[in-house]
Amino acid sequence: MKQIRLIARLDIKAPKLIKGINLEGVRVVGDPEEYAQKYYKDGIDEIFYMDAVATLYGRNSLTTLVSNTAHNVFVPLTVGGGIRTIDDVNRMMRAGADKVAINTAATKNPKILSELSQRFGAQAMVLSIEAKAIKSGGWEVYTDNGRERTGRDVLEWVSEAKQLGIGEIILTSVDKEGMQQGFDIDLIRAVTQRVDVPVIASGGMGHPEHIVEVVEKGGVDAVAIAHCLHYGKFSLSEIRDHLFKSNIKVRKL
Amino acid sequence: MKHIHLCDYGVGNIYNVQRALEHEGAAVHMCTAPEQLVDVQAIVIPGVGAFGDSITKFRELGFENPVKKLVAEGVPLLGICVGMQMLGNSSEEHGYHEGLGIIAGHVKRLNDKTIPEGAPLRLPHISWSSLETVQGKKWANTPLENVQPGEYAYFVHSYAFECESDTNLIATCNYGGHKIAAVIQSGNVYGTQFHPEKSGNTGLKILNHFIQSLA
Repeated sequence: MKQIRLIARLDIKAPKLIKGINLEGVRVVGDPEEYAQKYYKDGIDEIFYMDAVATLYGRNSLTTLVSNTAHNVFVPLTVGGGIRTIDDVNRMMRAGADKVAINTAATKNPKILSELSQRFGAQAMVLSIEAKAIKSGGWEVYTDNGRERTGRDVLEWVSEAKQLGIGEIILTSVDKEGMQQGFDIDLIRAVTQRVDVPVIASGGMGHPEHIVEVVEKGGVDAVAIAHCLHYGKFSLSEIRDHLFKSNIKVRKL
Repeated sequence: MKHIHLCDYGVGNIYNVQRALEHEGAAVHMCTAPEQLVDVQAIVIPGVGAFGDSITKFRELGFENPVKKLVAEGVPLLGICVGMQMLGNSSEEHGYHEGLGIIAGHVKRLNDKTIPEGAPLRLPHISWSSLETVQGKKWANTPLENVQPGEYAYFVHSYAFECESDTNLIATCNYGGHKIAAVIQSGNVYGTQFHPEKSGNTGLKILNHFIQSLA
Protein backbone atom coordinates (compact mmCIF):
# COMPACT_ATOMS: atom_id res chain seq x y z
CA MET A 1 0.00 0.00 0.00
CA LYS A 2 1.23 3.43 -0.95
CA GLN A 3 2.67 5.71 1.72
CA ILE A 4 0.94 9.10 1.55
CA ARG A 5 2.78 12.30 2.47
CA LEU A 6 1.05 15.14 4.31
CA ILE A 7 2.40 18.54 3.29
CA ALA A 8 1.58 21.85 4.95
CA ARG A 9 1.10 24.55 2.35
CA LEU A 10 1.82 28.09 3.51
CA ASP A 11 0.98 30.93 1.14
CA ILE A 12 3.10 33.90 2.01
CA LYS A 13 2.77 37.59 1.45
CA ALA A 14 6.07 38.31 3.16
CA PRO A 15 6.42 38.43 6.01
CA LYS A 16 2.94 37.10 6.74
CA LEU A 17 1.22 33.76 6.31
CA ILE A 18 -1.98 34.36 4.37
CA LYS A 19 -4.92 32.36 3.21
CA GLY A 20 -7.13 32.98 0.22
CA ILE A 21 -10.14 31.49 -1.46
CA ASN A 22 -9.79 30.44 -5.10
CA LEU A 23 -6.23 31.73 -4.68
CA GLU A 24 -7.30 35.30 -3.93
CA GLY A 25 -9.14 37.28 -1.28
CA VAL A 26 -6.28 37.34 1.14
CA ARG A 27 -6.59 37.07 4.93
CA VAL A 28 -3.58 37.36 7.19
CA VAL A 29 -3.13 34.33 9.40
CA GLY A 30 0.10 35.04 11.23
CA ASP A 31 3.83 34.40 11.39
CA PRO A 32 4.79 31.66 8.94
CA GLU A 33 7.86 30.59 10.91
CA GLU A 34 5.75 29.90 13.99
CA TYR A 35 3.28 27.89 11.98
CA ALA A 36 6.01 25.91 10.23
CA GLN A 37 7.65 25.13 13.58
CA LYS A 38 4.36 23.97 15.04
CA TYR A 39 3.61 21.73 12.09
CA TYR A 40 7.12 20.27 12.27
CA LYS A 41 6.67 19.47 15.96
CA ASP A 42 3.25 17.94 15.21
CA GLY A 43 4.85 15.65 12.63
CA ILE A 44 4.14 17.18 9.21
CA ASP A 45 5.97 15.33 6.43
CA GLU A 46 6.96 18.40 4.40
CA ILE A 47 6.55 22.17 4.30
CA PHE A 48 5.66 24.07 1.13
CA TYR A 49 6.11 27.85 1.02
CA MET A 50 4.40 29.64 -1.84
CA ASP A 51 5.27 33.28 -2.45
CA ALA A 52 1.80 34.56 -3.32
CA VAL A 53 2.95 37.89 -4.67
CA ALA A 54 6.17 36.95 -6.43
CA THR A 55 4.83 37.73 -9.88
CA LEU A 56 3.70 41.17 -8.75
CA TYR A 57 7.15 41.99 -7.39
CA GLY A 58 9.03 40.18 -10.12
CA ARG A 59 10.90 37.86 -7.79
CA ASN A 60 10.63 35.40 -4.95
CA SER A 61 11.17 37.16 -1.61
CA LEU A 62 11.26 34.15 0.64
CA THR A 63 14.99 33.48 1.11
CA THR A 64 15.10 34.84 4.66
CA LEU A 65 12.01 32.89 5.64
CA VAL A 66 13.45 29.74 4.07
CA SER A 67 16.77 30.21 5.86
CA ASN A 68 15.15 30.82 9.21
CA THR A 69 12.87 27.83 8.80
CA ALA A 70 15.66 25.53 7.67
CA HIS A 71 17.50 26.37 10.89
CA ASN A 72 15.31 24.20 13.01
CA VAL A 73 12.82 22.42 10.79
CA PHE A 74 14.36 19.16 9.67
CA VAL A 75 11.84 17.97 7.08
CA PRO A 76 11.81 18.73 3.35
CA LEU A 77 11.13 22.31 2.37
CA THR A 78 9.76 23.28 -1.04
CA VAL A 79 9.56 26.88 -2.23
CA GLY A 80 7.54 28.29 -5.09
CA GLY A 81 6.53 31.62 -6.56
CA GLY A 82 8.53 33.69 -9.01
CA ILE A 83 11.26 31.15 -9.57
CA ARG A 84 12.56 31.67 -13.07
CA THR A 85 16.28 31.08 -13.52
CA ILE A 86 19.16 28.86 -12.44
CA ASP A 87 20.26 31.71 -10.16
CA ASP A 88 16.85 31.81 -8.48
CA VAL A 89 17.00 28.07 -7.82
CA ASN A 90 20.58 28.28 -6.56
CA ARG A 91 19.61 31.09 -4.20
CA MET A 92 16.74 29.04 -2.80
CA MET A 93 18.85 25.91 -2.36
CA ARG A 94 21.59 27.83 -0.59
CA ALA A 95 18.98 29.35 1.67
CA GLY A 96 17.85 25.87 2.65
CA ALA A 97 15.18 24.75 0.19
CA ASP A 98 15.22 21.13 -0.93
CA LYS A 99 12.85 21.53 -3.84
CA VAL A 100 11.52 24.39 -5.92
CA ALA A 101 8.10 24.63 -7.49
CA ILE A 102 7.82 26.27 -10.87
CA ASN A 103 4.76 27.36 -12.84
CA THR A 104 4.91 30.60 -14.85
CA ALA A 105 8.52 30.31 -15.97
CA ALA A 106 7.92 26.80 -17.26
CA THR A 107 4.77 27.69 -19.19
CA LYS A 108 6.63 30.54 -20.91
CA ASN A 109 9.81 28.55 -21.57
CA PRO A 110 9.33 24.80 -21.01
CA LYS A 111 13.02 24.09 -21.71
CA ILE A 112 13.85 25.65 -18.34
CA LEU A 113 12.56 22.43 -16.75
CA SER A 114 15.20 20.28 -18.41
CA GLU A 115 17.93 22.85 -17.75
CA LEU A 116 17.04 22.96 -14.07
CA SER A 117 16.57 19.19 -13.78
CA GLN A 118 19.96 18.53 -15.25
CA ARG A 119 21.63 21.09 -13.05
CA PHE A 120 19.90 20.34 -9.75
CA GLY A 121 18.39 16.91 -10.30
CA ALA A 122 14.80 16.11 -11.21
CA GLN A 123 13.99 15.32 -7.59
CA ALA A 124 14.42 19.00 -6.76
CA MET A 125 11.98 20.13 -9.46
CA VAL A 126 8.30 20.30 -8.70
CA LEU A 127 6.01 21.40 -11.50
CA SER A 128 3.28 23.58 -10.05
CA ILE A 129 0.04 23.51 -12.01
CA GLU A 130 -2.96 25.74 -11.34
CA ALA A 131 -5.89 24.16 -13.13
CA LYS A 132 -9.25 25.67 -13.86
CA ALA A 133 -12.10 23.70 -15.41
CA ILE A 134 -13.06 24.58 -18.97
CA LYS A 135 -16.82 24.63 -19.57
CA SER A 136 -16.55 22.39 -22.61
CA GLY A 137 -14.49 19.83 -20.70
CA GLY A 138 -10.91 19.48 -19.55
CA TRP A 139 -8.83 21.99 -17.66
CA GLU A 140 -6.71 24.97 -18.58
CA VAL A 141 -3.34 25.84 -17.05
CA TYR A 142 -3.35 29.17 -15.21
CA THR A 143 -0.52 31.13 -13.64
CA ASP A 144 -0.16 33.99 -11.21
CA ASN A 145 -2.42 32.51 -8.55
CA GLY A 146 -5.17 31.62 -10.95
CA ARG A 147 -5.28 35.05 -12.56
CA GLU A 148 -3.54 34.58 -15.91
CA ARG A 149 -4.66 32.17 -18.61
CA THR A 150 -2.04 30.32 -20.64
CA GLY A 151 -4.25 28.63 -23.22
CA ARG A 152 -2.49 25.35 -22.37
CA ASP A 153 -4.41 22.14 -21.74
CA VAL A 154 -3.42 20.61 -18.39
CA LEU A 155 -3.09 17.03 -19.62
CA GLU A 156 -1.01 17.96 -22.66
CA TRP A 157 1.13 20.14 -20.44
CA VAL A 158 1.88 17.39 -17.94
CA SER A 159 2.94 15.03 -20.75
CA GLU A 160 5.21 17.67 -22.22
CA ALA A 161 6.72 18.54 -18.86
CA LYS A 162 7.32 14.92 -17.95
CA GLN A 163 9.43 14.52 -21.10
CA LEU A 164 11.53 17.52 -20.13
CA GLY A 165 12.28 16.25 -16.64
CA ILE A 166 10.35 16.89 -13.45
CA GLY A 167 10.36 15.07 -10.12
CA GLU A 168 6.84 15.79 -8.92
CA ILE A 169 3.71 17.73 -9.73
CA ILE A 170 1.80 19.87 -7.28
CA LEU A 171 -1.66 20.18 -8.72
CA THR A 172 -3.91 22.98 -7.46
CA SER A 173 -7.52 23.25 -8.45
CA VAL A 174 -8.28 26.95 -8.72
CA ASP A 175 -12.00 26.18 -8.53
CA LYS A 176 -11.75 24.11 -5.35
CA GLU A 177 -9.02 26.02 -3.54
CA GLY A 178 -10.14 27.42 -0.18
CA MET A 179 -13.69 26.12 -0.59
CA GLN A 180 -13.20 23.21 1.83
CA GLN A 181 -15.48 21.03 -0.23
CA GLY A 182 -12.98 18.45 -1.34
CA PHE A 183 -10.40 18.13 -4.06
CA ASP A 184 -11.16 18.06 -7.79
CA ILE A 185 -11.06 14.28 -8.12
CA ASP A 186 -11.64 14.18 -11.88
CA LEU A 187 -8.76 16.58 -12.49
CA ILE A 188 -6.43 14.71 -10.22
CA ARG A 189 -7.27 11.28 -11.58
CA ALA A 190 -6.81 12.51 -15.12
CA VAL A 191 -3.31 13.73 -14.27
CA THR A 192 -2.21 10.69 -12.24
CA GLN A 193 -3.34 8.47 -15.08
CA ARG A 194 -1.53 10.58 -17.63
CA VAL A 195 1.99 10.59 -16.14
CA ASP A 196 3.83 8.47 -13.62
CA VAL A 197 5.60 11.10 -11.54
CA PRO A 198 4.40 11.58 -7.97
CA VAL A 199 1.45 13.96 -7.72
CA ILE A 200 0.59 16.21 -4.77
CA ALA A 201 -3.06 17.27 -4.60
CA SER A 202 -3.61 20.84 -3.47
CA GLY A 203 -6.73 22.90 -2.99
CA GLY A 204 -10.05 21.96 -1.44
CA MET A 205 -9.51 20.01 1.72
CA GLY A 206 -12.16 20.68 4.34
CA HIS A 207 -12.16 17.40 6.20
CA PRO A 208 -9.76 14.44 6.53
CA GLU A 209 -12.28 12.36 4.58
CA HIS A 210 -11.39 14.46 1.54
CA ILE A 211 -7.88 13.05 1.77
CA VAL A 212 -9.23 9.50 1.83
CA GLU A 213 -11.27 10.31 -1.26
CA VAL A 214 -8.46 11.88 -3.24
CA VAL A 215 -6.05 9.05 -2.39
CA GLU A 216 -8.48 6.25 -3.20
CA LYS A 217 -10.12 7.82 -6.25
CA GLY A 218 -7.47 10.25 -7.45
CA GLY A 219 -4.36 8.10 -7.06
CA VAL A 220 -2.20 10.82 -5.49
CA ASP A 221 1.01 10.32 -3.54
CA ALA A 222 0.74 13.36 -1.30
CA VAL A 223 -1.73 15.99 -0.17
CA ALA A 224 -1.13 19.67 0.54
CA ILE A 225 -3.17 21.03 3.42
CA ALA A 226 -3.61 24.72 4.18
CA HIS A 227 -6.87 25.98 5.55
CA CYS A 228 -7.59 23.07 7.87
CA LEU A 229 -4.24 23.41 9.57
CA HIS A 230 -3.86 27.20 9.60
CA TYR A 231 -7.28 27.77 11.14
CA GLY A 232 -6.92 24.85 13.52
CA LYS A 233 -9.93 23.02 12.11
CA PHE A 234 -8.13 19.73 12.50
CA SER A 235 -4.86 18.88 14.19
CA LEU A 236 -2.33 16.73 12.43
CA SER A 237 -2.90 13.88 14.82
CA GLU A 238 -6.66 14.03 14.19
CA ILE A 239 -5.98 13.91 10.46
CA ARG A 240 -3.54 11.04 10.84
CA ASP A 241 -5.92 9.07 13.09
CA HIS A 242 -8.73 9.44 10.58
CA LEU A 243 -6.45 8.23 7.79
CA PHE A 244 -5.21 5.21 9.75
CA LYS A 245 -8.80 4.23 10.49
CA SER A 246 -9.57 4.48 6.78
CA ASN A 247 -6.59 2.29 5.89
CA ILE A 248 -4.62 5.11 4.34
CA LYS A 249 -0.94 4.65 5.10
CA VAL A 250 0.75 7.73 6.55
CA ARG A 251 3.89 8.08 8.63
CA LYS A 252 3.62 6.74 12.16
CA LEU A 253 5.37 8.96 14.66
CA MET B 1 33.57 19.51 20.91
CA LYS B 2 33.24 17.02 18.07
CA HIS B 3 34.38 18.13 14.64
CA ILE B 4 32.96 17.13 11.28
CA HIS B 5 34.53 17.93 7.94
CA LEU B 6 31.77 18.31 5.37
CA CYS B 7 32.78 17.95 1.73
CA ASP B 8 31.22 20.78 -0.25
CA TYR B 9 31.83 19.68 -3.82
CA GLY B 10 29.22 21.96 -5.32
CA VAL B 11 26.03 19.91 -5.34
CA GLY B 12 22.63 21.01 -4.19
CA ASN B 13 21.65 22.04 -0.74
CA ILE B 14 24.23 21.02 1.86
CA TYR B 15 23.42 23.80 4.28
CA ASN B 16 20.71 21.65 5.78
CA VAL B 17 23.25 18.91 6.43
CA GLN B 18 25.49 21.48 8.11
CA ARG B 19 22.67 22.82 10.27
CA ALA B 20 21.50 19.40 11.33
CA LEU B 21 25.05 18.39 12.31
CA GLU B 22 25.45 21.62 14.27
CA HIS B 23 22.07 21.06 15.89
CA GLU B 24 23.38 17.74 17.16
CA GLY B 25 26.48 19.27 18.65
CA ALA B 26 29.17 19.18 15.98
CA ALA B 27 31.49 21.95 14.87
CA VAL B 28 31.21 21.71 11.09
CA HIS B 29 34.06 22.57 8.75
CA MET B 30 32.90 23.16 5.19
CA CYS B 31 35.58 21.91 2.82
CA THR B 32 35.53 23.11 -0.74
CA ALA B 33 39.00 21.70 -1.36
CA PRO B 34 40.88 18.67 -0.03
CA GLU B 35 43.58 20.94 1.43
CA GLN B 36 41.02 21.81 4.07
CA LEU B 37 40.86 18.20 5.27
CA VAL B 38 43.17 18.87 8.22
CA ASP B 39 42.87 17.39 11.73
CA VAL B 40 39.92 15.37 10.53
CA GLN B 41 37.84 13.62 13.18
CA ALA B 42 35.08 12.54 10.77
CA ILE B 43 33.91 13.20 7.24
CA VAL B 44 30.41 13.65 5.86
CA ILE B 45 29.80 13.44 2.13
CA PRO B 46 26.39 14.87 1.26
CA GLY B 47 24.78 14.32 -2.10
CA VAL B 48 21.87 15.46 -4.19
CA GLY B 49 21.25 15.08 -7.88
CA ALA B 50 22.83 12.81 -10.42
CA PHE B 51 25.65 10.39 -9.64
CA GLY B 52 27.75 11.20 -12.69
CA ASP B 53 27.64 14.92 -12.09
CA SER B 54 28.42 14.46 -8.39
CA ILE B 55 31.33 12.02 -8.70
CA THR B 56 32.87 14.11 -11.48
CA LYS B 57 32.81 17.25 -9.35
CA PHE B 58 34.11 15.30 -6.33
CA ARG B 59 37.04 14.00 -8.33
CA GLU B 60 37.75 17.25 -10.15
CA LEU B 61 38.15 19.02 -6.84
CA GLY B 62 40.67 16.36 -5.82
CA PHE B 63 38.73 14.84 -2.93
CA GLU B 64 38.97 11.19 -3.95
CA ASN B 65 42.44 10.17 -2.86
CA PRO B 66 42.68 12.26 0.31
CA VAL B 67 39.31 10.92 1.47
CA LYS B 68 40.23 7.33 0.66
CA LYS B 69 43.49 7.78 2.58
CA LEU B 70 41.65 9.08 5.65
CA VAL B 71 39.18 6.21 5.44
CA ALA B 72 42.06 3.73 5.27
CA GLU B 73 43.40 5.34 8.45
CA GLY B 74 40.10 4.59 10.17
CA VAL B 75 38.51 8.04 10.08
CA PRO B 76 34.71 7.64 10.32
CA LEU B 77 32.77 8.69 7.25
CA LEU B 78 29.05 9.16 6.56
CA GLY B 79 27.77 9.33 2.98
CA ILE B 80 24.25 10.69 2.44
CA CYS B 81 22.06 9.84 -0.55
CA VAL B 82 24.27 10.29 -3.63
CA GLY B 83 27.13 10.56 -1.11
CA MET B 84 26.29 6.99 -0.08
CA GLN B 85 25.98 5.84 -3.68
CA MET B 86 29.41 7.26 -4.49
CA LEU B 87 30.94 4.87 -1.93
CA GLY B 88 30.21 1.98 -4.29
CA ASN B 89 32.04 0.60 -7.31
CA SER B 90 29.79 1.95 -10.03
CA SER B 91 26.51 3.54 -11.03
CA GLU B 92 24.42 3.18 -14.16
CA GLU B 93 22.67 6.55 -13.83
CA HIS B 94 22.82 8.41 -17.17
CA GLY B 95 25.63 6.17 -18.38
CA TYR B 96 28.26 4.12 -16.58
CA HIS B 97 30.27 5.86 -13.86
CA GLU B 98 32.91 4.54 -11.50
CA GLY B 99 32.44 5.14 -7.79
CA LEU B 100 34.99 5.40 -5.02
CA GLY B 101 35.00 1.66 -4.38
CA ILE B 102 34.95 2.01 -0.58
CA ILE B 103 31.97 -0.32 -0.06
CA ALA B 104 31.50 -3.09 -2.63
CA GLY B 105 28.32 -2.53 -4.59
CA HIS B 106 26.69 -1.07 -7.64
CA VAL B 107 24.08 1.61 -8.07
CA LYS B 108 21.15 0.60 -10.22
CA ARG B 109 17.87 2.17 -11.24
CA LEU B 110 14.91 1.31 -9.02
CA ASN B 111 12.43 -1.13 -10.46
CA ASP B 112 9.33 0.66 -11.71
CA LYS B 113 6.91 -2.21 -11.20
CA THR B 114 5.54 -3.41 -7.88
CA ILE B 115 5.95 -6.98 -6.79
CA PRO B 116 4.09 -9.21 -6.92
CA GLU B 117 1.31 -7.28 -8.67
CA GLY B 118 3.42 -5.79 -11.46
CA ALA B 119 1.59 -2.48 -11.08
CA PRO B 120 3.40 0.73 -12.10
CA LEU B 121 5.58 2.19 -9.39
CA ARG B 122 6.19 5.93 -9.51
CA LEU B 123 9.77 7.15 -9.58
CA PRO B 124 11.53 8.91 -7.94
CA HIS B 125 10.82 7.10 -4.72
CA ILE B 126 9.75 10.16 -2.73
CA SER B 127 8.46 8.98 0.57
CA TRP B 128 8.86 8.60 4.27
CA SER B 129 9.64 4.90 4.43
CA SER B 130 10.23 2.81 7.51
CA LEU B 131 13.63 1.41 8.36
CA GLU B 132 13.78 -2.35 8.77
CA THR B 133 16.49 -4.52 10.24
CA VAL B 134 18.48 -7.00 8.22
CA GLN B 135 18.46 -10.55 9.55
CA GLY B 136 21.25 -11.19 11.95
CA LYS B 137 22.30 -7.56 12.24
CA LYS B 138 21.99 -5.52 15.37
CA TRP B 139 21.97 -1.76 15.26
CA ALA B 140 23.97 -1.38 18.47
CA ASN B 141 27.23 0.48 17.94
CA THR B 142 26.03 1.94 14.66
CA PRO B 143 24.40 5.35 14.09
CA LEU B 144 21.07 3.44 14.18
CA GLU B 145 21.59 2.42 17.80
CA ASN B 146 18.85 4.72 19.17
CA VAL B 147 16.44 4.09 16.28
CA GLN B 148 13.62 1.57 16.61
CA PRO B 149 12.92 -0.69 13.64
CA GLY B 150 9.86 0.79 11.94
CA GLU B 151 10.86 4.42 12.43
CA TYR B 152 10.52 6.49 9.27
CA ALA B 153 13.10 8.35 7.24
CA TYR B 154 12.80 10.56 4.16
CA PHE B 155 13.85 9.03 0.86
CA VAL B 156 14.04 10.78 -2.50
CA HIS B 157 15.87 8.85 -5.21
CA SER B 158 15.48 6.91 -8.43
CA TYR B 159 18.61 4.80 -8.07
CA ALA B 160 19.63 2.49 -5.26
CA PHE B 161 22.74 0.79 -3.94
CA GLU B 162 23.00 -2.97 -4.36
CA CYS B 163 25.58 -4.40 -1.97
CA GLU B 164 27.82 -7.11 -3.34
CA SER B 165 27.86 -8.61 0.13
CA ASP B 166 25.01 -8.63 2.61
CA THR B 167 27.52 -8.10 5.39
CA ASN B 168 27.56 -4.41 4.41
CA LEU B 169 23.78 -4.02 4.55
CA ILE B 170 22.42 -2.98 7.94
CA ALA B 171 18.99 -1.51 7.20
CA THR B 172 16.47 -1.65 4.38
CA CYS B 173 13.18 -0.06 3.43
CA ASN B 174 10.38 -1.32 1.24
CA TYR B 175 9.11 0.35 -1.91
CA GLY B 176 6.51 -1.41 -3.99
CA GLY B 177 7.53 -4.73 -2.52
CA HIS B 178 11.23 -4.24 -3.33
CA LYS B 179 13.78 -4.15 -0.52
CA ILE B 180 16.02 -1.13 -0.90
CA ALA B 181 19.35 -0.57 0.86
CA ALA B 182 18.67 2.14 3.42
CA VAL B 183 21.87 2.00 5.48
CA ILE B 184 25.18 0.37 4.54
CA GLN B 185 28.35 -0.03 6.57
CA SER B 186 31.94 -1.08 6.24
CA GLY B 187 34.03 -0.58 9.36
CA ASN B 188 33.75 3.10 10.24
CA VAL B 189 32.16 4.02 6.92
CA TYR B 190 28.38 4.43 6.79
CA GLY B 191 25.99 5.35 4.05
CA THR B 192 22.34 6.37 4.30
CA GLN B 193 20.18 6.41 1.19
CA PHE B 194 17.71 8.65 3.02
CA HIS B 195 18.40 12.19 4.18
CA PRO B 196 18.92 12.19 7.96
CA GLU B 197 18.90 16.00 7.90
CA LYS B 198 15.36 15.85 6.50
CA SER B 199 14.02 12.99 8.57
CA GLY B 200 12.87 14.85 11.65
CA ASN B 201 13.76 13.30 14.99
CA THR B 202 14.73 9.93 13.58
CA GLY B 203 17.31 11.55 11.35
CA LEU B 204 18.63 13.81 14.08
CA LYS B 205 19.12 10.78 16.36
CA ILE B 206 21.21 9.09 13.68
CA LEU B 207 23.40 12.15 13.19
CA ASN B 208 23.65 12.56 16.95
CA HIS B 209 24.97 9.05 17.43
CA PHE B 210 27.46 9.43 14.58
CA ILE B 211 28.76 12.63 16.15
CA GLN B 212 28.75 11.63 19.80
CA SER B 213 30.53 8.35 19.15
CA LEU B 214 33.57 10.13 17.69
CA ALA B 215 36.65 9.64 19.83
